[in-house]
Amino acid sequence: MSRNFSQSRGSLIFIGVCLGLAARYILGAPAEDEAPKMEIDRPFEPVQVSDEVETKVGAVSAARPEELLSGLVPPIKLPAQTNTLVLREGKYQAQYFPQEIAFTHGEAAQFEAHGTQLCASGCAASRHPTGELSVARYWELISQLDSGPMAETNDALEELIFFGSQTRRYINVNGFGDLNSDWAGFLGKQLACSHAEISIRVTDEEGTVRTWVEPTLVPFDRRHVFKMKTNALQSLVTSGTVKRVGLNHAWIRL
Amino acid sequence: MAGPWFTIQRDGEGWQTLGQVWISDGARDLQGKIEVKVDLERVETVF
Repeated sequence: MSRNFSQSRGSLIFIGVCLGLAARYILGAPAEDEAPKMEIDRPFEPVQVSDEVETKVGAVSAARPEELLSGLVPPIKLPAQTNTLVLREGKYQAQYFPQEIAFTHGEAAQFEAHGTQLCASGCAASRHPTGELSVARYWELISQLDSGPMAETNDALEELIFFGSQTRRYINVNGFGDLNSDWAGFLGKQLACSHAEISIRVTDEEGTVRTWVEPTLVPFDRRHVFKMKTNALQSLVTSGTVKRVGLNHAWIRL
Repeated sequence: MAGPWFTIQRDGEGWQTLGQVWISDGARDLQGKIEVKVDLERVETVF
């Protein structure tokens, strides 16, 4: 009985091999290295990196040749922000303030423009930027500056501070004119102030603070949204703008 | 919070009241006083 079983099993294997060979002969054998063909649908063309880009990156890269060979991407060094202040003959004549890098803000604040224009006046209007300080007016205010005290009663000083970033730009381009070093230093120090720390709180009639923002740094003239902390109150946010309008005063709009 | 509230504040003046709002935790409604405080950031400069 076991002999019959072995014979039938051998017959089956033989028939299988024969069928396989017949199929290979009829259908054709695939090449050894032929893989199934796949078509990839690419929505975008592959990015072509030009030689120019490589040259620019190479120019600012401080990587050693062995680092480049290792396949690691070296860090790119950005140009240092240098203070190009130069005091010549009692006048600051070079770029005075670094570019408007002063848009940093505290963790509780998030910059959010109100419409397509920035409301820099601190009021509630969406499109109400601060007016323009003309060159002529800038020089007029500079010429009037030292005829008053270094105090908030000096109208020229108040107006120059009101225009904040515009005044800084004019100083960077034109300098301080005939202002002496004391006045230039005083005005420069005031204009270097670009941020305020704002705190908000809502206290109920039982004296419990229900929602608040801890002291948070914001730049002037930019609307921010503040994520407020709460006590037995649903989560909420408040938006607002701080604008410096003079030596000692700020407008606040919430 | 719905506004707007507007104020002019002196640097370092302390808390200034902007207005009143109703606040509620769903069980009790109470009046709340909104206050704000601003301090100009005095930075070290080369001037």
